[in-house]
Amino acid sequence: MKFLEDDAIGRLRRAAEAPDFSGTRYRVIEEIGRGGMGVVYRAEDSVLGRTVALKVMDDGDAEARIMASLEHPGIVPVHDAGTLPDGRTFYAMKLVEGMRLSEYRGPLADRLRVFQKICEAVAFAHSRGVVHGDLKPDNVMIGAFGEALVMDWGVAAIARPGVIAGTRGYMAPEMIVSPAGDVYALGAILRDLKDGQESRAALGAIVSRAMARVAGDRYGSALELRDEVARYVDGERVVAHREGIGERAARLFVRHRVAILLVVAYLAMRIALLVFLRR
Amino acid sequence: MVAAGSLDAGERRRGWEALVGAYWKPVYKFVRIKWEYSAEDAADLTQGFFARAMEKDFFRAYDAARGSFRTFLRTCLEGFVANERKAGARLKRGGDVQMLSLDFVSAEGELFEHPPAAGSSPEELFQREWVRSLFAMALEDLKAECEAREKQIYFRLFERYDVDAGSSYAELADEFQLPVTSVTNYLAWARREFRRLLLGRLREITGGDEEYRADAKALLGMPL
Repeated sequence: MKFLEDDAIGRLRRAAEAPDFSGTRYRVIEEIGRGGMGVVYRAEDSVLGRTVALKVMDDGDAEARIMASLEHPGIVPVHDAGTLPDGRTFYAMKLVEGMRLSEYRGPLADRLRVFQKICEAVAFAHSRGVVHGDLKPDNVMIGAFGEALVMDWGVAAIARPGVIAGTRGYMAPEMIVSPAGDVYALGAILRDLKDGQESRAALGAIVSRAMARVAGDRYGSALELRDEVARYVDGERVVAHREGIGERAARLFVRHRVAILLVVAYLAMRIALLVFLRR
Repeated sequence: MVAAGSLDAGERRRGWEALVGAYWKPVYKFVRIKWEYSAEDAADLTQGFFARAMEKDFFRAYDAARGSFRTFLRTCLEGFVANERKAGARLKRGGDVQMLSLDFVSAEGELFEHPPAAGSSPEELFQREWVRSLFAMALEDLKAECEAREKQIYFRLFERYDVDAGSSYAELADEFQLPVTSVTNYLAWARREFRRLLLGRLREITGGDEEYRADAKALLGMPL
């Protein structure tokens, strides 16, 4: 009997669990992701001649149904779903060509714009009664056009009241899947996105409030958090931060810098004119 | 496992063959590493262990509610070796035990060429060798199945792509003078059969439905 080395066993394991898509319109090209709820493959849709992402589920089709029910620009659209000969279920979705949020290195303004889009997608899901339950930078893709797409709704599929789920570092202290838990995770994502901007106290205060230990002390919804970040971006006062006089002056200067510079320029010209006329 | 305790003699023999086939190498290597027995003594103890287990039917005492069959078998082995050590004697080759045809030379060669990783315990070695035996048996089954159905080329493709690796579908298509679609289809068939045979073997050597499902999940990353 042939001795199988460890890497050969690894390949045989993958071969044995490889989904059998013969008899379907899909041809698997390669595995592109693996999580607790299933495996994602890059595949070719032979009918429409396009590349899609296929997720083969470990357990049931609830995730596909949830994603299909969430039609939003910030949530990956599901094209199709089915059952494999071995009984496992799969669904086909748009293949997002881009990078994960954890790899995204844009300027802070772009990162905050992306963050607001994520909040909007999560708020939309909440409005439909769906809690993501495992928000983290690895579960957000930044597409080729700068769009932010929230992925991996597998935990949402199993989420029932009281279910404990999430990823360490992004999971709220109460550990229970809930909208408040999603707000906490969004706060943790914002913490990562503002990395290197420790001097921005208002941004830090937003993160602290979103990640408050007690759920009731956090923003009441993902939209409230989105609005707070929008205020920060627009140079308005953020609710979570009590600013000092100097800080307020600096913020107002930045916010109204064009008007202030115009007034200063106007006054300088008047003074120059007066000086000229007195000669 | 159930077959090994069957009242039907033929089924019982097949059950024992499956059990011994999957476990003899893990047992031999475990004895060699844990108690540092010589190759000859470890071979004698392995023979003696399975012979005694068959003779006394002590796997019948297995209770699925108390853990996996794999752990139970290892505990039986530890008890057996402890008794042998206490008695201060070892079983004579070809003595009063029924000898099994086991290739201890190859097992010893494997141990020499692929020694346990530094820092790993004998129990971890036992587990890894059990997985290795299971996959090796399923691979042999697939080979036999392909030969019986005159699909040798399916097995050769599977062996090249999923065991040895290093070739693309296009390279295999070129080498085997086949269209790439045929390579894809043949491999899909072979993988499906391999999965079926692997799960069949697993069913034979686990102690019940719950253990079988848990092991299938752990080995193949999917529930059944």
